[in-house]
Amino acid sequence: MSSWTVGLRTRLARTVPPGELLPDRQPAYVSSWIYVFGVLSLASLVVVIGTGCVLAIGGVTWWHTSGLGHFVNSTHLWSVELFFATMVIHLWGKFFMAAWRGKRALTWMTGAVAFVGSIGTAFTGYLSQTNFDSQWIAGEAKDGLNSVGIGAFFNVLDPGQMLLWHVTLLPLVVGVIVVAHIVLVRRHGVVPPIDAVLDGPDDGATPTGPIPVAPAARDLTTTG
Amino acid sequence: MNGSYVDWGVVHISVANLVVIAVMVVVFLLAVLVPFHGPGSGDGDAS
Repeated sequence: MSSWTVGLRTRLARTVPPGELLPDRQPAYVSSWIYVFGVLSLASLVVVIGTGCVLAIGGVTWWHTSGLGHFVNSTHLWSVELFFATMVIHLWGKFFMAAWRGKRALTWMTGAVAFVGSIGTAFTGYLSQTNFDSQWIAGEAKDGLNSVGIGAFFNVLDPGQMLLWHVTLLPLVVGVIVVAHIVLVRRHGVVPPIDAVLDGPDDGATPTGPIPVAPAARDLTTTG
Repeated sequence: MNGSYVDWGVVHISVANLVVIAVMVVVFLLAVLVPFHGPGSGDGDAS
């Protein structure tokens, strides 16, 4: 009789085959700056979450009265700017690659939803500045949201509610979607170029794809 | 507060935002066109 531990392990192994979670060999076409921007958006997200945690310790008005608080707040803001800029460049690249090919539709969709969810998270951040800017943004946003019925449970004029959406619900949703996106990338592999000549069908089931892989760094150094 | 804006039909955008978008497009084109010489590129410097 198998335990739930075995069942979970089997399920995880099926989701991402062993060795594919952190592979050190990838197809040659993965050598592209477009993927660097994907990783940069992830790195930015780590800084966003880290600085957000520090801001949570200091409090929502900390940055008005403390030089350190102002620095952490600015780091939070600019890492968000970088997060969006790098994510959009990654998105543009994947769009023109038609990256949803080969049963990778869910990978594309989770990326797109992560982008949209991040916009919502950023907007609630702007509403949590506790200054006239956030007050003005809330005043401008309320009519549009109320006209479509969202205001009943998402009141932009309530700073406390917006802050909780910003620091709990939305980061949780974005975090889960981003993790799902990365798992899907590892599960299905990176999409081959459109004009690639493949040995077999690209069904998204072979993580490294049917194209010969480029040698890893250690192979280049050992083989000279 | 007066800023510089560009008006083009229904488009009304600040020069600052327009510059940011232009820079992103330039960076995107560079990301596509500039060769990537990482350790996994096969023809890059592995040292």
